[in-house]
Amino acid sequence: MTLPQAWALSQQWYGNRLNPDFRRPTTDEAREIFTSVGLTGPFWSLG
Amino acid sequence: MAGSDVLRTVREAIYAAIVRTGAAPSVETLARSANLTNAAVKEAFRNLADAHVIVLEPGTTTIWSAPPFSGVPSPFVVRAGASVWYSPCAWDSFGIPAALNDDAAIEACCAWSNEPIRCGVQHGGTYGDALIHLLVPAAHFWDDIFYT
Repeated sequence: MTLPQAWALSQQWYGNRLNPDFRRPTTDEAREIFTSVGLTGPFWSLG
Repeated sequence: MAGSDVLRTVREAIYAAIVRTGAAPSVETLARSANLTNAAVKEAFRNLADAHVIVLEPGTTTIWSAPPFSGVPSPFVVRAGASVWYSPCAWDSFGIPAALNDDAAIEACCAWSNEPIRCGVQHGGTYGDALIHLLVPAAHFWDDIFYT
């Protein structure tokens, strides 16, 4: 992935990690996050 | 304290310690600071690891990573202001400025050429010229997180 993709992915994946109400993304949310930053195809499939 | 409250307290204390010091706290240190028993903290560490919130060194209750932060020094160095953290992988190097909501300078080495890589986040955007190659497909990230 490109650095802008890594940054966009990280902002969505880790942006709330220090928030007291943090929770890990669900599988569906993870799919949406990957797709939103252009990470698609079999490699990024979560089944 | 209810189990979910202990988990939340321990999780917050882990991240607070790593953000403050750059290193993961031990069971004993966290237990003292949070006024919990060592047994309660160990159980919370294991539960957080089972939930993929943190990663423990195999067979121990030593924190290897509280993503995106590494609990121990790694080849991925992330600097923001006067502070230094380590991340467990290239992706997570960008996770640290995301979690901190701050700019950061990242130092790493190319896995192929071993050439130093300087990149990071400045004014909300990335700088540097590199690509991040992941070896393990997303569905299998957690099969062996140390390899991933």
